Amino acid sequence: MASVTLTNLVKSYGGVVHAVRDVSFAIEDGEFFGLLGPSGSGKTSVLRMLAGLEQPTSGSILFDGVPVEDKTPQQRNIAMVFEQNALYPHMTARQNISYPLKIAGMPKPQIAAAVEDVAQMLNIAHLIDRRASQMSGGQQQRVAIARALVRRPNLLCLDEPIAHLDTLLRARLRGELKRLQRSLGTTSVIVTHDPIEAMTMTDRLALMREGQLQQVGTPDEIHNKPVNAFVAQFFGLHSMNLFPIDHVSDGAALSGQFGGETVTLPAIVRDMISRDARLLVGARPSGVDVRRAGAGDAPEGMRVSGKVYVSEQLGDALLVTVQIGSGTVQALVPHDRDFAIDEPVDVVIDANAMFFFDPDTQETRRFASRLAVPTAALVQAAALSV
Amino acid sequence: MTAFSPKLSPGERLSTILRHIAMTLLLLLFLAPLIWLLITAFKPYTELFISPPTILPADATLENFSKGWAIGGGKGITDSLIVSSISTAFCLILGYPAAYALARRFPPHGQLSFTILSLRMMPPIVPVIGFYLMFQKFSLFDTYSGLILIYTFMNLPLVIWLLSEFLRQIPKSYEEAARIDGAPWYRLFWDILLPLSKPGILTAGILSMIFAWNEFLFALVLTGEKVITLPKALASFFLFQQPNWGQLGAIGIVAIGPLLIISFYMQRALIRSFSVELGGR
Amino acid sequence: MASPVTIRVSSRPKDSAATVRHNRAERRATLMLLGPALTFLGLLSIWPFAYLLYASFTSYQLAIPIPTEWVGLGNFRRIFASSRFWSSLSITLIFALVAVPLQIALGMGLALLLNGLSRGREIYASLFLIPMMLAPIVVGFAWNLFLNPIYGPLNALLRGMGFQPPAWAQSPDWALPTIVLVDIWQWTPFVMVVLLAGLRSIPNRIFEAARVDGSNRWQTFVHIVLPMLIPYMTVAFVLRFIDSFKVFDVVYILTKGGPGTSTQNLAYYTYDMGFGRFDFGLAGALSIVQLVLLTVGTMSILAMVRRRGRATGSELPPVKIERVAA
Repeated sequence: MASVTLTNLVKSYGGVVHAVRDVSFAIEDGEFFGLLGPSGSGKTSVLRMLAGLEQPTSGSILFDGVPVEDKTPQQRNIAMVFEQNALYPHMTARQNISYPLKIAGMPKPQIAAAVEDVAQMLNIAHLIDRRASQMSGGQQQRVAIARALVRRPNLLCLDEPIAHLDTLLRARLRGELKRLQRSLGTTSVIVTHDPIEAMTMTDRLALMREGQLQQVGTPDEIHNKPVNAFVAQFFGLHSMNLFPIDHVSDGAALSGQFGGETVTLPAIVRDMISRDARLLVGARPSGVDVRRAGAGDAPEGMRVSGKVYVSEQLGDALLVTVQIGSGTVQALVPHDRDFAIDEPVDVVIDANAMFFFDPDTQETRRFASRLAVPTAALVQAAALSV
Repeated sequence: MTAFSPKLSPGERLSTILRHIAMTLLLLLFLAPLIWLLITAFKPYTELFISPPTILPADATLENFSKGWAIGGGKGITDSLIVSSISTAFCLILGYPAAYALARRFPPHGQLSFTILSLRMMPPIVPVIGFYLMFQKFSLFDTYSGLILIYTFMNLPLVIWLLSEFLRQIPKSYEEAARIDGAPWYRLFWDILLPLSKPGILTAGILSMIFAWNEFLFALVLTGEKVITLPKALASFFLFQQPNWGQLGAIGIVAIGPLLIISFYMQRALIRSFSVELGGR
Repeated sequence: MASPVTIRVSSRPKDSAATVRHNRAERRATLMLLGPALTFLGLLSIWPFAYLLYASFTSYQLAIPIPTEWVGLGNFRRIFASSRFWSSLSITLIFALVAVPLQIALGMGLALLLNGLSRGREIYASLFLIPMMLAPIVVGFAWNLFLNPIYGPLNALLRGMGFQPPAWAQSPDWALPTIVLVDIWQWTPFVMVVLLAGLRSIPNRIFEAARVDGSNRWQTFVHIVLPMLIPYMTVAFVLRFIDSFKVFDVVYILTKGGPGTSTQNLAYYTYDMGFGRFDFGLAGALSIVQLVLLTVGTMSILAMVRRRGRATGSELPPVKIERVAA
């Protein structure tokens, strides 16, 4: 087991392309850590530098406080599960799993016992004499995980290990991997582009964009306390709605323009208005309510009228997309509501569910103080909507 | 077979059969010179010089094969085998590491691979004078090692190119997995790369063998009495001795027999090796 | 607690010591992998080429013990003044510009025939491919037997049909057509397979769409198949053009350049000068002339192809020959 510290890590290719720009964070011993970001964010480069497959251009990597930049993957004692083509195709599952031990010079009976153990643990005993081509994608990845774990590595690197599997299998392997990691306590790093994976599996995660670190924290922190609008939009099951509002005026009622429509604003926005009368408001779909036009007694919040673009039944919730002028808003409302296409509606956002971002730097200025729907319920809703 | 094919009407069935008959006739016509060669190999000497010729040998004999072997066909086959197999081994030994470097560390269709491949395009008559003078200087004339050297030179560009194309298609993740498993470079090569690139090595090796086996000009100019490869043996018997076409035919049949078998399995690889991806550059 | 956003775009930092060591090791590994092969290829091309250059500017005669003298461009002047050079050049060009187009036309016919078969395509293709696999010496020998004026089957057949058949390779008028015929026979299959691969690469739905649009077979061929095969035809043409400078073995065994010099191409002429008369100066200069002609010819064809490609907005796509049958 190991703790890992990255300091000022930079990776550039040919001195021109900066894949990773000055990234620093620490992974604690025994932690399940996530590296999350859209493609091209540099997350895989960071993992490959951790693993020792690529050399950082500058910066340092410490395992338990010891620099490892000069060490091979083997010396670092890391194991890795690849996205695809993870198993040697000319070897059976057994030979694949034994290979690292054989290289290490372990005696045959011990290898056999270790393979037996790990095969039991991962439920692949019945596949042990098959080749990769005789196994399904999920079985292959399970064998690949077994090969990674059989060495008892200090650090387990997972490079989108389940991204290529189908939805149901992905959901199952998510759970299995998490249980496995908990029971073994192996420090693990998973690279993923899927916020659901990061959210459900990891203890903490680093969110990256274009080679730069955006935020490090627990899934809960990142979800509820995103540092900027990008993180807020990227991390979550449904993308956060962003409302760039301009021409904010503090007349008889506080109001502004969004997508060419007039928005009524609550009092709390007052100290968020920029000098040029702009405002950047965020709200998760779960914090947005949609009501029939003209229905009264709204809570203190933001209000704007639009018409229903489409409503989608998710089973235990209804996802309503509302067109407001040239913009759209998504809302999650109770499943027993019903909207017709093009029906005029009012979109209402509770003041407590509103995030505020700086319209220029996109940095967060105020978090929402209340979560409309618990995260767990959302996960279910999202899993169904995938 | 028939269970999976769509039902054909009697008319369609007839036209299919007619088409196959036509194709077979065309093929027989096309291959007639080779069929004639085969027939000749079984004709006794006296039957060769009859006009008009007999179509099938009236008195078929296998004597041509044993005589053909004795008068020099055997020597030709042995020498050709020696030269082509050893030069192929050198090509693979020199070519594999270079192909690996090219595949993993250089962009596809780069300047380097183009330069290497363009050596292959050179007509053999161009370097042969230089080779001849070089052979005189280093006493390589009429030696196995000399011809092996030249055939290695002749086939190495192709072997490098074929192998690098093949290696490029092997995902890098296998090698990375092996590095992570702690395999040193020689085990990476032996345990992972070699088994995965076996088909590529086989293709490149067989093609290199065939080209060396068929080569004539270098053998003609760079060897004399000691080293006599099969094409050279055939040519010299044909041109300088009272030709017994039956024996020559027998030698020819033996010379091309293995190639025919190989060509059945290799046609795809063979074509690829001849063609260059022009669009890439 | 959320950590603050760190957006610090540093200027290109200095490589760490470990990185420098790593890069150096990588370069050394590349050198070790490529080194032996490149050294071998380099030595074996530079050394003979140096000899060749040296010989081509001197009066290097191997047979006559005269002192070798520097003659400057004398050999090249002799070449361009010699009618044998011009006739051998024209014979080489006949291979490049007559035999190759015929191969493409015939290869196209064969490819279309084979492509029309629903079954057995692979078998037929392999059988048609046989000539290409054979040693040109064996091919020449087989044709020699087949075309023998007295004892060969073809002339017997023609006589039987009441014709007065030619003496083929031994006749001054027929020798060149005979050699061209053999070249076509041996290499049409190559063109066929390249074009067959091209045909197989055209998705079926395009033919279906053409049929839906009411296009008949000939229209489909002219408007759809032919344009889509142009890259493949180009590949076949360029490769055959390069190969046409290599034709030697068949000439050697069928005619030895004769009768007279009627089948003497550049390669055979060079061979005859070098190893018939041991006039290495002239042969060396001839080799260089050939290399220049071939290089300039190939480059200008490629440049033409690229320019045309750019003009019509369609770059020559990479021709991948993966699947011939199936």
